[in-house]
Amino acid sequence: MSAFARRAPRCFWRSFSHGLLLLISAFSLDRAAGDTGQGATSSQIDNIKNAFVVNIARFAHWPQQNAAAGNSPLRLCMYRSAEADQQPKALQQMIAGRPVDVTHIDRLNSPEDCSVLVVPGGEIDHFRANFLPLWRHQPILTILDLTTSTQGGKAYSGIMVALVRKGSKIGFEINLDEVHGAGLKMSSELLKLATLVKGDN
Amino acid sequence: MPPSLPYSRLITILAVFYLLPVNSWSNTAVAEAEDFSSMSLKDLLALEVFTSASLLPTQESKAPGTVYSFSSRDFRRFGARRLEDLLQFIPGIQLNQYRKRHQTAWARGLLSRYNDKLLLIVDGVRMQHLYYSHFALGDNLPLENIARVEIILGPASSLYGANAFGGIISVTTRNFSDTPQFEASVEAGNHQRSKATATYNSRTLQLFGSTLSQDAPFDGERRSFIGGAAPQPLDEDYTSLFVKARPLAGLTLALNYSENNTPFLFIPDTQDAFIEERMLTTSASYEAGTIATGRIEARLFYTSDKTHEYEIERQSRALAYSENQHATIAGGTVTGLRQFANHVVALGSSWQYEEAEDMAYRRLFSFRNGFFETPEQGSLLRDANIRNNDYALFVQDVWTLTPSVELTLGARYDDFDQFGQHLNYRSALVYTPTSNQTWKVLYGTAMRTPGFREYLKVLEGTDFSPPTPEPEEIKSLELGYLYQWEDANLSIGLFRNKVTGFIQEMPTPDGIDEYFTNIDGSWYLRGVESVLNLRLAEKLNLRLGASFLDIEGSTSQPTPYLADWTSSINVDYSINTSDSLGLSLIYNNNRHDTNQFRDDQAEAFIIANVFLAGEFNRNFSYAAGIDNVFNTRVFDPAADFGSQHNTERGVREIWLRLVWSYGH
Repeated sequence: MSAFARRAPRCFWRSFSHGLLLLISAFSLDRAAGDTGQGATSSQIDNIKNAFVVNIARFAHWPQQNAAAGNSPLRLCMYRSAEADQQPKALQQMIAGRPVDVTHIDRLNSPEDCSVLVVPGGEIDHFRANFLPLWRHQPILTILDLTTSTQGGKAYSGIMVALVRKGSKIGFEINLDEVHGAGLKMSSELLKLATLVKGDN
Repeated sequence: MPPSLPYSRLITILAVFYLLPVNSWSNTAVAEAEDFSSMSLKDLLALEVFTSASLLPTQESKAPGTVYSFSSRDFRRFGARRLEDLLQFIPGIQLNQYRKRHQTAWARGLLSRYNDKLLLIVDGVRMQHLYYSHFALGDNLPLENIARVEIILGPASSLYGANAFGGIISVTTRNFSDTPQFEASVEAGNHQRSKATATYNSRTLQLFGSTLSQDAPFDGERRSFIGGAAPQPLDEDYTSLFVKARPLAGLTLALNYSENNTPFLFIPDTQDAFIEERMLTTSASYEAGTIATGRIEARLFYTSDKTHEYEIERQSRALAYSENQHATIAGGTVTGLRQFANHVVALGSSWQYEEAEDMAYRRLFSFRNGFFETPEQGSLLRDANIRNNDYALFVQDVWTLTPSVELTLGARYDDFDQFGQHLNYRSALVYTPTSNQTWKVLYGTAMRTPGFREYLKVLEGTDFSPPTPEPEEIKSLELGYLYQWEDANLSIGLFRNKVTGFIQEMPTPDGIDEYFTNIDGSWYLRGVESVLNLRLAEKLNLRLGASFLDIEGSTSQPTPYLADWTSSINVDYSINTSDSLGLSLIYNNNRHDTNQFRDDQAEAFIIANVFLAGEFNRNFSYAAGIDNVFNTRVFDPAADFGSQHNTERGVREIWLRLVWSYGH
């Protein structure tokens, strides 16, 4: 005889009504959340990556002309980010005593006000075409997000830091040639935690 | 009698939590209780972010499956000391205490007396006692050595082959550390519990050892599976030794040894019964390359399983019964991964070998007839030296159709010596329209081959010749939705499983012994599972899990051992930056009480746990807790043979753990 069988109708309907309550409640929650107008907030994974960006930037040192900016906001530019029009909480921090001003940009032609530039992995071709010819070796900390493309382990022209996958975790790689070429410096504490990459491609 | 929360009140509480105005917490709450911006880089690097459900590192919310993962940080957050403690927080999993020492995880209603409908993988190596096709998830697997536990519900035979039937439990031990690290812990509790662990970790070598002695957390009022007294001793001990080395880049060698001596818990008072287990697993893993340019992952393993069960007649203290379940399991897997434009393809092959070494039994006593003049002896199996091979090929393609749509297609072909050829497949469509919501549709199949005991058991005292059971099969359709707010997330999953040829233990026609056979027809399991994480205040986090299960079968017999509603609540309060206080509640609704015992406790139950964890200073930390605070009594004796299942829960446990670490 089977241990698995049809349940008594009464029990089923009572359970079903509770299941329906769960579903209705969940959808109420979903709907109510939509009403708050928070449609494009950061996901947890984005929060983690943003925390990486801020932490890495904290260990970077810009050349004098940039540091002379005093307490003016440090502009963190996010190129073609999915989070346009948002100020992610993880980025609302101070870097080198300066508040962070997050700017979402769609063009790479004039990033001169950016101290940090975050580039999604899928935009590397645009980055190469539009940023490199004019802005390579400028004091802009360039960070490439490779966590969505399973790549890593190699250097990209113009990219100083790459966020990469390390198994089930996120790690980061630093190309010191690009860092030094732009006149930036990285703390030794940061370099201890990073994987250093070199390359000519 | 401890107070128990009425079912209706619990439902009301759940409903209130769900119907809380979102505005009241949406600006303050968190997903997974982390304020990442305040974490150091070192802590961020240690965060577990991706899942390996598809063989590829994948963001958990986008994984092509229903994935629940727990890091060592979560062990503390949930007050867990054993892997089975974590399973209580998985919607869709019900734990059942068997009359032996282990708890069985019933995933989405897949009943069994042993953990044979799930697959346990430790660092990529399948862990299994061959005779019962079983693994235990208790103190035999010390959490102190585990970095991450990933539970994937739903069929996964398209990647993992036989037994990935109801899902897989993937355990990852600690990674190597860049700097030398030392850690030692001691734990004490009631039930004579004393435990000690020691760890050394470095860039190329890792050593871990643990020893535990205690009485199983049950009391003298427990009942045997036939309802009478169960006065047997409860003392038990567990020992583990784990060595991992990386002699070359990409090459990892591991040795995992465990030794457990545990009692039977709920057997009649004529005998004491015990299990002695010695399991040694060695493995070699090699990984090289990147997915972009081509990656290879290879693994070889060998496991020697020496299990001995025996009974002592209580009056004479003489040996009443003894059996060995010694077996060997070995195998290897090679997987290649490569990205081609929008496709990431995995292609692999695997081989598994299993052999029965010593399955001898000796019966000297029967509770009906007393001691025999001449002991009965023989093999537990009709083929005492059975050897099997399973060869498999598998392929998987993760196709990124658009930046927001990913399609996973996979198939695996197995060729079993005993059970012929089988093809299993899986497809998953994951749609991420915005960064904060994900939709999933999954369809897949799985199969489970009968274990040694199920198709080779020697029947005693009967001439009945049982048929050989065929592999059981499952087809599963799942729908999933995840919404991520700034400070909360909600996941809802619906599933519909069709199980065909379910293997069940049946009495022989003469009623003298029992055998295993496939049931006729199919039965259907449907359910809803949901998890809500939210931050109620800056330091206060809540996790709420709930599941509903409905079963429709081909016969009219009720299913008395499954709860159709289960839920869990976990509250975590940060007292300060280093100390936290937690509370968890585990709820199962009432099940049908089918036996004739009037003093059992078969009603709905809530188990409450409280726990505290923190740091004295940089090198010393602590954790303490009370499991089953109200000593809630759960027991519902059943004959525990065939299709019947005993229901029990442990009694109150009070514990304290101190940890010293250096170099972290």
